[in-house]
Amino acid sequence: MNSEMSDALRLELLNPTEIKLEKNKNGFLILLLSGENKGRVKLTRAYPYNMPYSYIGVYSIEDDEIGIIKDLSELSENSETAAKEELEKRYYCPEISEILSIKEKMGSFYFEVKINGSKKNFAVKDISRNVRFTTENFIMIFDVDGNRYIIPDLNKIRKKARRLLEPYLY
Amino acid sequence: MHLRFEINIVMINFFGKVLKKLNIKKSRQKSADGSKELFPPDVNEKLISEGLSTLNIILSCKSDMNSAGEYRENYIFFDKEGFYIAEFSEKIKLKRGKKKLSAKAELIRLEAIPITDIDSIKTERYLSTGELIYTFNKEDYSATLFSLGLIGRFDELTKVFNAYKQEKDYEKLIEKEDVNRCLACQKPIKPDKNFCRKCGSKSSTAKRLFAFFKPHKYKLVFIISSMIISTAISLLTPQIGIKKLFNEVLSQSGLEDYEILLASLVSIVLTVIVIKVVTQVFTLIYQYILAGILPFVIYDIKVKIFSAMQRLSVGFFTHKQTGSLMERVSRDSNNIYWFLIDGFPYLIVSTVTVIGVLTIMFMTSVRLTLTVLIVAAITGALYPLFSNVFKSLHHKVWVRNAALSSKVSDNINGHRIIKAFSKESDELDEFSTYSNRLMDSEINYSNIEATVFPLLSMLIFALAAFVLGYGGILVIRGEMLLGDLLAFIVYMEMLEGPVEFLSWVFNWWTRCADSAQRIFEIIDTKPDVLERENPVILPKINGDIEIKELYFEYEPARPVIKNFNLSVKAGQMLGIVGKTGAGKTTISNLIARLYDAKQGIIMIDGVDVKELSLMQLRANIGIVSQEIYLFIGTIADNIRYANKNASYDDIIAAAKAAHAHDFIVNLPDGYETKVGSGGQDLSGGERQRISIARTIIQNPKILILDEATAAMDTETEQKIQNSITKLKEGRTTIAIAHRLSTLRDANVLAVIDDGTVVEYGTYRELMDKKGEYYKLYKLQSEALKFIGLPPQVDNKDTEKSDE
Repeated sequence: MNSEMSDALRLELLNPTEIKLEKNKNGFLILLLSGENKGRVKLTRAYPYNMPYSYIGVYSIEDDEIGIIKDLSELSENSETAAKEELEKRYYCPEISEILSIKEKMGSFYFEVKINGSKKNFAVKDISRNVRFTTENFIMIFDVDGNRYIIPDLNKIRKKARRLLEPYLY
Repeated sequence: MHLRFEINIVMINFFGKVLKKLNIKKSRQKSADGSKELFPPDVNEKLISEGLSTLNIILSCKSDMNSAGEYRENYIFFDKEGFYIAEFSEKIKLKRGKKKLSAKAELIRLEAIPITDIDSIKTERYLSTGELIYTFNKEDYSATLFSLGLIGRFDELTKVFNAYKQEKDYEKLIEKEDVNRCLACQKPIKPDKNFCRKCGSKSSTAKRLFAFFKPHKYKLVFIISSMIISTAISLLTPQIGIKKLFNEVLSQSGLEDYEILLASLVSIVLTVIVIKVVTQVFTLIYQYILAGILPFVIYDIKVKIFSAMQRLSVGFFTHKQTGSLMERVSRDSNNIYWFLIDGFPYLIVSTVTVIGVLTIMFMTSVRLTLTVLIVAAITGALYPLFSNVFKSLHHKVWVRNAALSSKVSDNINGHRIIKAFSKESDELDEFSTYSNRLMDSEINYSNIEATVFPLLSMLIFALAAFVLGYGGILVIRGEMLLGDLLAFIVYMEMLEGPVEFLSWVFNWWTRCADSAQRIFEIIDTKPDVLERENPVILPKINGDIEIKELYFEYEPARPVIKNFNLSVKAGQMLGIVGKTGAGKTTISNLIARLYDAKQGIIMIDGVDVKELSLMQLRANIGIVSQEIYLFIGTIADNIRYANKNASYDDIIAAAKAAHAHDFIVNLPDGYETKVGSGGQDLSGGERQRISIARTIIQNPKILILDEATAAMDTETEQKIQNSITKLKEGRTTIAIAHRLSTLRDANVLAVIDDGTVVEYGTYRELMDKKGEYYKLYKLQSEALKFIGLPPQVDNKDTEKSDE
């Protein structure tokens, strides 16, 4: 019984020594698997918040799975950098550094925030569902157009801004 | 045309003036000629100065990022010669030291790619951004990044550009710009609305809300006037009861005019009693009438919402959560009800009281009233400080309470799984965490409340003490009569309630207006699937179905059906197989016109379904799906749902044909067993057989079986298959399945993958072809062999159907 279970739970992983990830001249990520050029690939995160650089899925551009890399640190330095850059691009999410105001009008909440030093306005409906508190102090906000914004650590933004948002957090 | 142009100018000037008055920052000027605007004028100017002829541009799309992911104002566009990427920065300059801001774009970079150097363009979706990519010689190049919210526009650009490159008719793909703008602020809005959410606000909501009172307008006029009269009369009580009593009766010393004094005392007491009685009678009458008309008004509102919901298309319901819809109907109309019955009358009473009392107070003593007003203003200024703290704390309590309740409901709904995994103690721990959080915020709230409220009442007490002291001095100096002072203090107390009420009634009204707005949103929504004005009604539907170049998407930019072509002749059976998510169910929804296709055409007997009468169409299409819904009522009610006139014979005959009769009569209440929520528990197979009986009664010409037997065991499936075989006679049948055995009788088969037909033909043709169908067949027969069953997928009737 136990051996059956461990069989089912055995995760097939890519051999890190066979993997070479690099950027082509147009800035897209390509994979060389045991020396064979697999062309452009996509990377996915399995645990984007807790382990952003582990259990990285490698997919062809047509969405066929090539395999899973257990940890990017197992790769060569160049491959690791290329993979991290690709992940940053795919999983890029505007980070809110400051909340200037939150105004409620007719059930919609109008946010005025600062992202990368520039002001941005967006509207959020159904605030208790679209402002999410994932792990301790990590906040995700979804606006009406389907864009998402994050606050990586609520404790790191100013107290006044924190107080504006606090009533809406679970 | 000329006149319209002038009107446009006038309107623009007018709104410009209004904006100036309101000190609102104006967004960039739009060109006034009404032509489709590709760029704002300043961007246009810059591009022309770079030597581009912007008139020849076919389509442009604005992005908010550059390819490095920095926030920019990028324009991606193409004409017959090239594909361009123009990167702008938005520069904000101060104008002559004034506070007015002007935005002007600065061109950072302009990249032109000859159109011959691009084969096609495409978009890729990332987490919260998208990327526009162009391909040349099978190599990808990045054009720009953009916020995911813009993907719809970029997909349009992609489609138009690729059509242009393939020399197809690209012009019809260019979506007409939404010329529908808010009548007040000129912001673009949904095509079915007049005002944006901001402008279609409280005043118009109030107007629409009060329109529901129209049938009761005379009563309403009576109610409002009696409110005003009774409040005004009640304000006289302190004037007579205190002022007159003290100044004219109690202040007289000596008993020489004892009888006169007694007489005036009696008259004062009697007047006070009469005032009280009169106001009470008025109040009683108006409350009685109001309570009489409000249920009618609320009933009207509810009926309007319900009928609007019946009119709306399936898409509306899938986007909105059922919970939020139910809430709208019940909670929102309750919100309105309570505001109208409690808030509205008290609003009038309070307003009249405040105006009346202040007038009397001023008449009594201007100086004292002014001092009161000054102190009150100071208290009023402090009030929002407290109220903000309270609001925030209260919201926290509310949110945590909601979290706790959803935890409880999660636990109750998942109780079987919790028990099966024996996770009761873990669940309890989690519950305590939520509960503790709620407790913390409640304690916090009570603590603050306990400190702040005494502080506030101290302030009010201080005000009263001050009036008493200062008024006392005035009385001693003989500048004021004692009765006047006492009446003044009573009036001041009378103000407290209404002023407090008026300070928060606006919030209450906002909530009520919110509810009303949400309700009007449902009432105003136009259904996606609309019947044509003079729909075609065919004398008889035969059941020929033809689908040509169909495209459909539930969400923008995520096509589910792509270039889909199929045809079935009347009376034939078509089997559709494919992986989960291939688009099988979507096709059945599109045939029944629960949704409308984005492009392409579905024809029944040679007529576009969009032309057909919805009533006739749906009466002739029967869908038996995996998703079974039984309404609250008896089994018999559910079977005759499609045809209220079905006889008892019909019901039994249908149930027999569906192999449901045997289990139904074995139930203690037979066909009169209550089902639906709160009714008898039926198994999935039993419910499915009832739903098949329902379809048999409907007697449709086109039958869609959407995985109808997927959840059944083999024996039940066999029975249902037999009943379906009967049902199929003389009808066009489309059977969707992943178990190939279900499609034994199909005349033709279609294999669907990723929203399109990849194989089409008879069983024999597909087996000979050794393609996708053959693969599925092999897979399934091996699976059956593996578990020791003979392969069921042999298609015995193929020879017949091949003919």
